[in-house]
Amino acid sequence: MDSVLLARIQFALTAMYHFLFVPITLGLSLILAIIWTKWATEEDDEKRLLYERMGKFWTTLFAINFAAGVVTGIVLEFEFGTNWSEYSKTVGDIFGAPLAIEAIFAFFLESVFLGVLLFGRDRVSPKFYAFSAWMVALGTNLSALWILVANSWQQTPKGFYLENGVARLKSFLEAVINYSTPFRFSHMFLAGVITGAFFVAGISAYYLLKRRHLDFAKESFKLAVIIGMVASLLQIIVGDLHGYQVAKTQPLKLAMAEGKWETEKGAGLEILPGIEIPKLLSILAYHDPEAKVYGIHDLVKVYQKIAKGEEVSDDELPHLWLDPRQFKGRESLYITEEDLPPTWIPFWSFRGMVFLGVFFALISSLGFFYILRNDIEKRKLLLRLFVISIPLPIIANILGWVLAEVGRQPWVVYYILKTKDAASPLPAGQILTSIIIFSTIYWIVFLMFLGLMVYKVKKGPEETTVGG
Amino acid sequence: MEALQITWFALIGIIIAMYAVLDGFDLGAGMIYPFVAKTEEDRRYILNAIGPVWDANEVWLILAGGALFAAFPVAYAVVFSGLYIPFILILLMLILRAIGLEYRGKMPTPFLKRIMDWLFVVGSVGATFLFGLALGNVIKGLPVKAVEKELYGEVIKTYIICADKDCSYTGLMINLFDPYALFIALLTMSFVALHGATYLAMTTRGELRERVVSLAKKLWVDTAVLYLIVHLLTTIYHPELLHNFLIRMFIFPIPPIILVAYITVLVALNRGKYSLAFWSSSITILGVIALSFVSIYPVLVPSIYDQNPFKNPVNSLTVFNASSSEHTLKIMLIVAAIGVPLVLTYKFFVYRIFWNKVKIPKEGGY
Repeated sequence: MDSVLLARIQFALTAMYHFLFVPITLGLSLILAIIWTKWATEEDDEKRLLYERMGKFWTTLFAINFAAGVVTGIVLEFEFGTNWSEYSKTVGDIFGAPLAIEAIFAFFLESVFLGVLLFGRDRVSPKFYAFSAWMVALGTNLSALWILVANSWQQTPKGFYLENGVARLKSFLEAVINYSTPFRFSHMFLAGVITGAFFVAGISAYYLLKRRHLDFAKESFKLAVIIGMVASLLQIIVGDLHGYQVAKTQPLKLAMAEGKWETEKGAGLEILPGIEIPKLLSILAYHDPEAKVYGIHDLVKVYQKIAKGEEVSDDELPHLWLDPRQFKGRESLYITEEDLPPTWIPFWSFRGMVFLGVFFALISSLGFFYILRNDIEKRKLLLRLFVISIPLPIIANILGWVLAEVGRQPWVVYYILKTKDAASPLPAGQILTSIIIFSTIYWIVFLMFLGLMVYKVKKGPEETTVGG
Repeated sequence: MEALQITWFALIGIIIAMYAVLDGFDLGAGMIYPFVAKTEEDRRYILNAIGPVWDANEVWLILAGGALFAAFPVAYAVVFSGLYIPFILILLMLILRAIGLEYRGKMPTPFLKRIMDWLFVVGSVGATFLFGLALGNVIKGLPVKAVEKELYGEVIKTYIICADKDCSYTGLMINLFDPYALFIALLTMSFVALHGATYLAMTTRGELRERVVSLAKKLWVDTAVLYLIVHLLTTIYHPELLHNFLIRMFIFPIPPIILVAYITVLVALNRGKYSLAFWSSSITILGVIALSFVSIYPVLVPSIYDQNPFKNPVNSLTVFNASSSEHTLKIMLIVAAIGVPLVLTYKFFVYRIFWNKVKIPKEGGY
């Protein structure tokens, strides 16, 4: 196997594995901050004790998740140097900054205050303790922000110029916001909230079904379902906006995700192969039923023309925010259809993510409805669905990232650098060795993580002791 | 522009020094852990002494990686791809160590706890050894070469690792286990273990403390001997470094400070002034790193293809040929000027909650 492919496999493996744990911490940190704030401000002793049990239990599960997230995240910080040295040299002037900023503004915040959260409950005041929980939540989500900044710049680069083959920073603010950061961060933030909420809701549903820790489970379930419902309904709007942004910046990604080879006016959307709703793709992508959706064949030809320095008229491209014509004559735009990934990957990952997203909105709304009617405990089927749903948001997150990253191919930085020109010139054997090392240790860590989670959930929160 | 590049060279030095001092003590605690902890209570005491702070200490390493990437992307790319296998193994060791440390307290049986102990120790020893080995190899020189390559029809000047003459094979073949690099690895291990021991001497009590202190004294001698050997070898490998040292007058105060601080470590250990021993050990580490950075300036990564990398760097990476653009360095300096004091402030306040007040929690903790 060639070393670029191996480097890609390694990155996919380590990034996806990291992403099994991170989204739970994004949402769960917020839920923890809410619980500990209620605890710190509650006057009623009995309720206070309930919040304390909730806080302690969910903090323990958070810690198990967080540890797995941290150890797998540190790998990614150095992987750009070890495996993608040519990438680092070409765009490091821009790409290094968000990673450094993430460390300084996010990682310190979350790690320092997590120390308080795990070790300091009897050493600091309740108010400061709740404050620490908020700082952990802020740090965790800030870290997601800066990673999304870095990745969004790769997807829709802005605020730079090319000089001697290297990208140089022109405007920091433009590079940070670029064309997609606000959309993509909102989308990821909500996804994290949904993941954390479904994690809490699912485990609480398990206790409700088993009729254990009832007061604890009801309160946790209620909180999680409300948060999950709000986030998953908002996600439908944000997801649509993000799709619009993709259409305006990465038309080839859109065409691949829809399997559209030919340019079409008023294009329909294939919900599943064979089931097509007329005009829906044009509406979703450009918010206009008659809009032209450009197919893969035409786009590839247009990119080739731009790479050769030929004139491309406005009619040959959709109206775009990120106009490829600004890179006229740059050979990195010269791609062929063989360079593209198999379109079934973006096609199916997109559909999987959307179906799951709709499912989350549906069941959390149902859960909310029965909470209002105050008979959620009797809805065995719905509760069972919640238990099964614990890993589903994680799958949806990974599908979303597969769509984003595979859909960006054949470039690593859209239009300006191809993935195959970004890898370190390493012998394949060394990369293979590292893949084997990481896969082995990741499996072991994953089993330990799962074992500990199951053990802690079965043990459950501590019961109230009389006179405690 | 030059002032910015020099400032960033100094900042990278400060970040690495912060990492060495802070994560150094918990790595060191992990290294001596099996030798000083005899009972379960001892073990929990040590783990809870580093538990609330180790993660925040390790962030300095992530910051060092991020800052090197942002300020000197070429050096970041060359060092990490050039020393590929050692760095992959360092990451592996850091994973093992963190998992051992974080999951030990949550494991249900003593047997599983023992396995976690084992991961924690192997990870701590392994990471420290490999850091030293990588450092030794960088100081000795990497096979970096200034080359021209074609990308998208343009000819670009770049630096890559060339293991043979025509750069056809770019994977690293130099001998990682060169004796010089090995001595630096040993020195790193001994130094870090000593630093960890002074931290534990400060935070533990009773018999555990006695064992820690007597081990610390032995490590003090080992470290001193190894330091002298490494110093001697360095002047043989890179005589120019001695020259740099002699012409850069402003570093003259550093060696006496190192010497005084280092002797203070032993005196303080003997007199039972353990906080003083820890702080002196920290100053020694800061001094040694400051000395190294001032001596190698302006070189970041010496190349083995240069006759005299420190005098006439052609293939070597320096702060001038490996840095980001002026604009990026400026922006990042603003970020650092806001971020670092902010971090140090809250870190100081939070560490004070835990400092020197180890408690073994009944529930939670490690």
